[in-house]
Amino acid sequence: MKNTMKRMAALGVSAALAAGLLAGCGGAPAGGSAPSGDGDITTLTWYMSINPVAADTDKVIQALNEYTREKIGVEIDYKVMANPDYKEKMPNLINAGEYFDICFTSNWTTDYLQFTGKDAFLDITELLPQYAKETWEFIPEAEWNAVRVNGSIYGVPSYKEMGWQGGIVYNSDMAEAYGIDMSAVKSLEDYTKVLETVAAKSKAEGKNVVGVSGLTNAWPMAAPYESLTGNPQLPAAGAVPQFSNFADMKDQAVFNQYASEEYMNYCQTVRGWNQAGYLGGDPVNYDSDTANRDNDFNNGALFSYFIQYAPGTAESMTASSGHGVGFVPLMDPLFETRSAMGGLLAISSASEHPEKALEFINLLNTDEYVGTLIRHGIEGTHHSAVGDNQVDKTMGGTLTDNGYDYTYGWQFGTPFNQKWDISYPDNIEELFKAYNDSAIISPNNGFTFDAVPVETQVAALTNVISEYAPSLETGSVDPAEYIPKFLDALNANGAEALVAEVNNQLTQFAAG
Amino acid sequence: MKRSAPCTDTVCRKQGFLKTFRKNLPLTIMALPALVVMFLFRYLPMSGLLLAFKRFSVPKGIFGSDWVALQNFEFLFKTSDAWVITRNTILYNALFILLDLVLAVSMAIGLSELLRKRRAKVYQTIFMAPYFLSWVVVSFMAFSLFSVDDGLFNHLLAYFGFAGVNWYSEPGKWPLILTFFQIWKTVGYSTVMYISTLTGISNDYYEAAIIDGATKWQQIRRITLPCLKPMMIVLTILAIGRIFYADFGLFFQLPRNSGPLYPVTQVIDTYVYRALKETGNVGMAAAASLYQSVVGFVLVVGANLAVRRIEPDSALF
Repeated sequence: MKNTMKRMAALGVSAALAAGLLAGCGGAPAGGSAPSGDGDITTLTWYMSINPVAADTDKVIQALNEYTREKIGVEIDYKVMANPDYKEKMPNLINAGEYFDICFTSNWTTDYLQFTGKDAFLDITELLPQYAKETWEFIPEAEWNAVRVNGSIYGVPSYKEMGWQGGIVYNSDMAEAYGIDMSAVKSLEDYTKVLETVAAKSKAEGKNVVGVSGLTNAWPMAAPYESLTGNPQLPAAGAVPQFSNFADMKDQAVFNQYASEEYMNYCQTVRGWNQAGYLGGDPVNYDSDTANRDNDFNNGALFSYFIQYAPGTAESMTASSGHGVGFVPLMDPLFETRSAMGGLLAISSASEHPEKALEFINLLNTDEYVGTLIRHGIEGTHHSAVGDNQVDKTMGGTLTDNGYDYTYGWQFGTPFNQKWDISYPDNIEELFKAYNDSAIISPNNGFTFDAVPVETQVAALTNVISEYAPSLETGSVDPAEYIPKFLDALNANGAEALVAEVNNQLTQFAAG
Repeated sequence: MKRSAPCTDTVCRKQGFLKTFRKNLPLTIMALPALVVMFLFRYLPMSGLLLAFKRFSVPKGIFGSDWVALQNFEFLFKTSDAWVITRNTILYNALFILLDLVLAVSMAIGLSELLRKRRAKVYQTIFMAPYFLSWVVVSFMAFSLFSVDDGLFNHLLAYFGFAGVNWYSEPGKWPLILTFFQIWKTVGYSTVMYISTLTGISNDYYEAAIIDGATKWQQIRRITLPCLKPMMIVLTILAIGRIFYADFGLFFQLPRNSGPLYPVTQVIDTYVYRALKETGNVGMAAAASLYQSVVGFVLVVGANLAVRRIEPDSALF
């Protein structure tokens, strides 16, 4: 009897445990089910990456929904994450088959080409002219061509500055004080003299000013080339005739840029800077800490750094740094395939409302109310209007954090159909236009490389490059000794196979 | 209560499956929650291993994606660094296992022999503390020592009139630095494991030994170490099973991803991370992890086999 009782008790306890466990598992339904249209209103799920996630996001989306419900019968279920989170989470959500209609994609987060290759995005080539006509006409053809993959378009690119322009931003107050004429700087070699002056004059004042930082990005600015794989680091470059560089590679359509004379020259120059002490003691680590860099720049402990420039940057940096900021371009803007991939909005291949999603993306790009709302928040709450084309996020006061503002809202679409903050110059759109008009369109714009046949080589090469490039490109090691080692390692890991494959695909692209 | 006779193989077969099952029903049900958890989180996800042999496509899903046979594994072996990666992973881990064993056992014995009681607890806590720091935090602590411009070591060197050292680009120094930090971080944890075994040793043994005139050294050799042996074997076999997994935090964060240090810091985990962070190929990631698991499995079985040969009683299974 006692035995039976014990057994019963044990059974009961175990059953309770098991039941508890199963109940725990049964909770949330697996995966998101597709939100269905409610009457005439369609709900679109939009995953967005933006930094930081503003405090008043919900209020703004509520205002947005009121407008879009009327205008196109759409409500937005807005799932926004800060850039670092999005980069980690979104690829997993897509891989796991989570439902969404619209998502942000690019070549720096949730990779556009990678997920297009995984069939995650919808081919919208046919739908665009019908459901997003204004956007289709408003964005230049070069942009559309650049985002084509095997002839089809899988995302709407953010139309902003076309291409990229490398150069140096510098503390113009300091340049003036030391009597430096920055307009004389046309190339990297010219800059050596500037750095010399900065070092000498600042030492005389008893200060230790770092001359320049950001060298880990500087090499493609010193000798611009077309990145045929979409990744400027991989050894498959094409020469752009307008820059008249890479003379030693003239007979090759695709070449390994690290084997060029330009690379040796660049590394020699920065090696000189490093040894003369213009870069601080440890430029690789200095570059990786941008918060520290900005701090040093604002405090006058850093004279200049390399950046990719967009119009209006110097003006807005002047406002934030507390001293004058100037910019010296090292090249004309270059527009290549990867330039269009800084930001796109793509539609899921599983979306149930691709037409509505496109109509909404069309609004983001062409409707000034929607564009301004999502970039600067609600008028009267987050900004005040200044004239017809500008807003003031401080609302005429000294307010610094108003709860919602994205100074430069290109991630949402295009800044051209949005109002600008008054910290930008009045003629900002003209500056952008001038920039875009001066952009050189690369010879193979629209060519996207399919890395699948050489994935093994790309994996190995990525490792080799991260081993050698940062120390060579900051002058931390002797180029005469390390460049040959670097080239050997590249060749041992399939650099030639990569160049051959790019060449092959390029020939096919040119033919058809 | 009279316990039913233990169910040996022959008895079970005579009794029949159903009877045995009924007899063990409460135990079976008690084990059920754990078994369900095991099944859901350990066995079910194993089907994902298929990914290692496939080219993943989102709409087609794991099972529908196309087969690519062993193509996903190529990047692990086709690189010119394959040898360096394997050597680093295995040698570092072998060294860590050995040092951890020797140091943790000595510290455990030392703590329990010399101080006993209260102060032992204080030291134990101090040794254990680094175990709870994340490698990111440790990497910044190290950076404050090794930084070229502001590091403590370079300041000291300058103070004594020597030239500063560029720590993050001199590979020769890093095997030592990595080993130091690894041991510093983990040895406290293993020490606690051994101390807990030590407290279980009956004092009678020591009292008898003292009466027989055994010295401290003899007590340790004849009583303490033999009693610790099973624990040492279990922990070592388990560690050997993970010999092909390198601690990502140690090898990636501590050297601050510095290129010139790759020859001595590149291990299989960092290689896979650096190779795939750009392309994000899930198939290749699954392939790397499957490869590590298979090697780990073979090594655990092998190590256990060796132990069983030498000392059947101490084998894990």
